[in-house]
Amino acid sequence: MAQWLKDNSSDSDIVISTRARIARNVSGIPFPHKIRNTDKEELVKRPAIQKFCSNGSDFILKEMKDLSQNERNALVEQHVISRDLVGRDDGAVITSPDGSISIMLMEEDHYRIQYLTGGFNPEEAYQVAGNVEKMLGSSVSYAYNDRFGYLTACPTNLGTGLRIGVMMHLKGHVLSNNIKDLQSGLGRLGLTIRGAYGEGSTPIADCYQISNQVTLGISEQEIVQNIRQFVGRLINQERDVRNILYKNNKLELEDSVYRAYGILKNAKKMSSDEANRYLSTLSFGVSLGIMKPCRETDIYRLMIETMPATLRREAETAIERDIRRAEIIQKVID
Amino acid sequence: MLCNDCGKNEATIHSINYINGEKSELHVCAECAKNHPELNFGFNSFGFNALEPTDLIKKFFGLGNDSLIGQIANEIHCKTCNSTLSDFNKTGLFGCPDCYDTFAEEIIPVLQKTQPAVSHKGNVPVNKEQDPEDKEKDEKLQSLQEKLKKMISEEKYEEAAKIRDEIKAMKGE
Ligand SMILES: [Zn+2]
Ligand SMILES: [Zn+2]
Repeated sequence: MAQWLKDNSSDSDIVISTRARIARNVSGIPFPHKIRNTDKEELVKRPAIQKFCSNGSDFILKEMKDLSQNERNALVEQHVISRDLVGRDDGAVITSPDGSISIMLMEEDHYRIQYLTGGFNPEEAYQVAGNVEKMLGSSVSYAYNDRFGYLTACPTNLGTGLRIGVMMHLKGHVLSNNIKDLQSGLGRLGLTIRGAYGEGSTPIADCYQISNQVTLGISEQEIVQNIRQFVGRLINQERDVRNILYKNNKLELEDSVYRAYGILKNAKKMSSDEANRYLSTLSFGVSLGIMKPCRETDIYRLMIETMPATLRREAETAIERDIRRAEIIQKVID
Repeated sequence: MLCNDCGKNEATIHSINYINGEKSELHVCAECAKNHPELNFGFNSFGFNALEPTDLIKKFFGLGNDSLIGQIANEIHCKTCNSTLSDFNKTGLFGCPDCYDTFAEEIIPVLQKTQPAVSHKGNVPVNKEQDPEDKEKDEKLQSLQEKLKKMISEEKYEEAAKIRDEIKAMKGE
């Protein structure tokens, strides 16, 4: 679970993950919301499945229609598929064994190719996603024209079709009430900030995703460089804010970090909201060196592993689940 | 610490702000926090409303069916998928790649406002310029390589050697 979260990845005190996502469509046929049934099987799904799931490949195909609602939600929580794909019974996803590569079929576009890696790694993220895109491109003719670049169902993805998203734990900006300013500031740089699970989602555990807003008239390398430059600066700014907060509110912050630790360590049951709140505070404390019962990455992993759909088991009551959540956390934090 | 406002309840909400290096603090109870709209703690009351790209496009087009563009261009249909601009205004999505030719005039001004430039810069499909003959050869090579793997896994080494020679010949090695 969440095996793409690696220990010792860069800037992991602030950054949870970096993701590159490339939107592509097959030329000559309508986009998923207008496509004919025979085309979606023959021209969209089959070439990708043959390419990545043929004999000897360890890639895994999951058809949405074969998954329960909860199984689909769990894949969203682990960032393997988008919320959009959950509602599409004709959709499917092909994943690498560790879940770091996923190719969504019949999402908003015919293909959404994604690579997810721990820490701040925009170059690596784009490189791997780009390679997968090229592999698929040897079996499929992509919809493209010279003016608009790669053609996508929504014009906001035209051009490169590339979005790089960096998931950040912005506790310092949240505590100092600076998220709103950040939002307008990033907008001026062609970046957007949103909740952890994409468009319209609410932020969880002070985690936000920063991504490029523009895709046309800008090359893949420029998108990667912009993310490197601006998100790099934001990482430093978050560290600065944390240090100022700590310097000026030492007792208060230490108190809340130790309280969070105390509850995480000793509670007999824990809701998802509570777990997120205390894990966020603990991660903040670890990054400031207030205490070190585990690494930040362990905490990010717990955040994902204790999400409701991921944790859920059939025939288990909500209380039993909350008990299990507390136990899972206590195995990691000591 | 007691609430700054009522002085009775325990302060549970602590706001620390830095504006131009100046620190301003506010410590209030949950009840009194309701009188402070600037206190955006807690995710549900966050009112987080990032301007999503789709919203941006919709905003420029004017929301919904009644937008001006929808009315003017109501007659135009994409020949391939039959979509109209009012379909686009409803969903924010085009129906097929050809819609970008059909509605180029309408979409370009919007893209000019929302994207750095309306001319693609970046990768182009590798097979775009590829000669059909080369493509056929690639496909043949690929199927031979798959066959080779299969023969090896079935321990049919003689047949595998033949296929390997065929691949070498095709690659001109
Ligand atoms: Zn009060
Ligand atoms: Zn069309």
